[in-house]
Amino acid sequence: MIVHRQTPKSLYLVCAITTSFGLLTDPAWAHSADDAAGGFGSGFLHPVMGLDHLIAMVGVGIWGAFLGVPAIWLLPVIFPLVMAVGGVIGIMGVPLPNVETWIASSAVAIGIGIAFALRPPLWLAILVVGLFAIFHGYAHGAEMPQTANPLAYAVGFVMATGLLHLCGIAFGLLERSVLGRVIVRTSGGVIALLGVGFLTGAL
Amino acid sequence: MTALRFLCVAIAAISPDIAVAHEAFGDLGPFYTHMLHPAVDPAQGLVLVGTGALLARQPIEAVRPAYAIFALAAALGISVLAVLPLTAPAMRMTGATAIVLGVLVTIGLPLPRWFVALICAAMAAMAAVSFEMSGTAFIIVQKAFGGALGLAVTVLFVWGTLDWTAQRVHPIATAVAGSWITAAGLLVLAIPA
Repeated sequence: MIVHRQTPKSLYLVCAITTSFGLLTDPAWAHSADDAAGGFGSGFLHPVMGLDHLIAMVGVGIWGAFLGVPAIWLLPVIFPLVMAVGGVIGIMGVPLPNVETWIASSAVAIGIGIAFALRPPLWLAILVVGLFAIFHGYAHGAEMPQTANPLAYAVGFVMATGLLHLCGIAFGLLERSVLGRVIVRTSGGVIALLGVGFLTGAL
Repeated sequence: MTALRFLCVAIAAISPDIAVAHEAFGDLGPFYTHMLHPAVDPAQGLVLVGTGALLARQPIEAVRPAYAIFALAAALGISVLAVLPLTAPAMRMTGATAIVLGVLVTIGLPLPRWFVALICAAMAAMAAVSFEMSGTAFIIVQKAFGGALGLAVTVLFVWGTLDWTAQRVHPIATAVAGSWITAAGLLVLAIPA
């Protein structure tokens, strides 16, 4: 028997507002060309503007919502931490093989997890998400030393990643209704297909 | 509706369009420029957000004296800076500090009151020396007042926002913020000098 927990209205409110702000990114890069070249805006936009990053980050949030408590909150805590480790590897210039392939694979794997409503044990979910987080972080970190303000870049991309997770969680909470569940699982299929597109080079 | 308004203001304050709008401030004068400094200096902002998040993880009995000490130390630090030419902390120092604060926030263990107060005093001093204090005596006084107020308000704002979120949404919200702070600190620490 599936037991649906009562979700506080405030949680929906926070998720809705966070989603709205997550989508309102254009003012951030319209302010100054200098910042877009290498500061907070550049770091913030890196995960947002790269579709492969974006679908995977949102996917992690959606999957977390699917898995329920405590994964819904643990994954957004763990992902940035492990991603930062990947970022450090990227900054140090340690070569990692097939980074783009791993990033595309993350979208495929997480998309399939959502589409088929897979509920692996928590440790396995953390392991999968953590593994992919290293490659996402690596891609961000590898570009960081060239930026004009690396500190602002770091803060920007960590915040953007976290907000994308929250957007995913907000969207994933729709699965608590019957129609919402169909929409969320369909979106998982779309994420997986986009991932396949990146993996095969079609996108 | 009060909660909704508070939340909208909280999110608007951390949204990227405001954070990157340094040029949008224009010439506001030394008082307001220094008061808004934490919003445009990522190093100073990271330390202050970490301090506010740390306070949000501690019981209110520990927060009250720690915040008072923070405000006093900030005022004292800026006053010293007005007299002595101190330099802002290196980026790696900021990164290491953010990691320590972020880990403490993520773990969320209640710390001894004296230790929280000590951390707050150290963070206030660290944030205070990030200001630039040149000019005539009148300008320096304005910068000092604006800077001290900016530091105090920023930490209070972060503490209030996270404390509200932790109580009204989910206690783990502060841990999420802690993981962001740790992640940013790790990356900053790894950046070549």
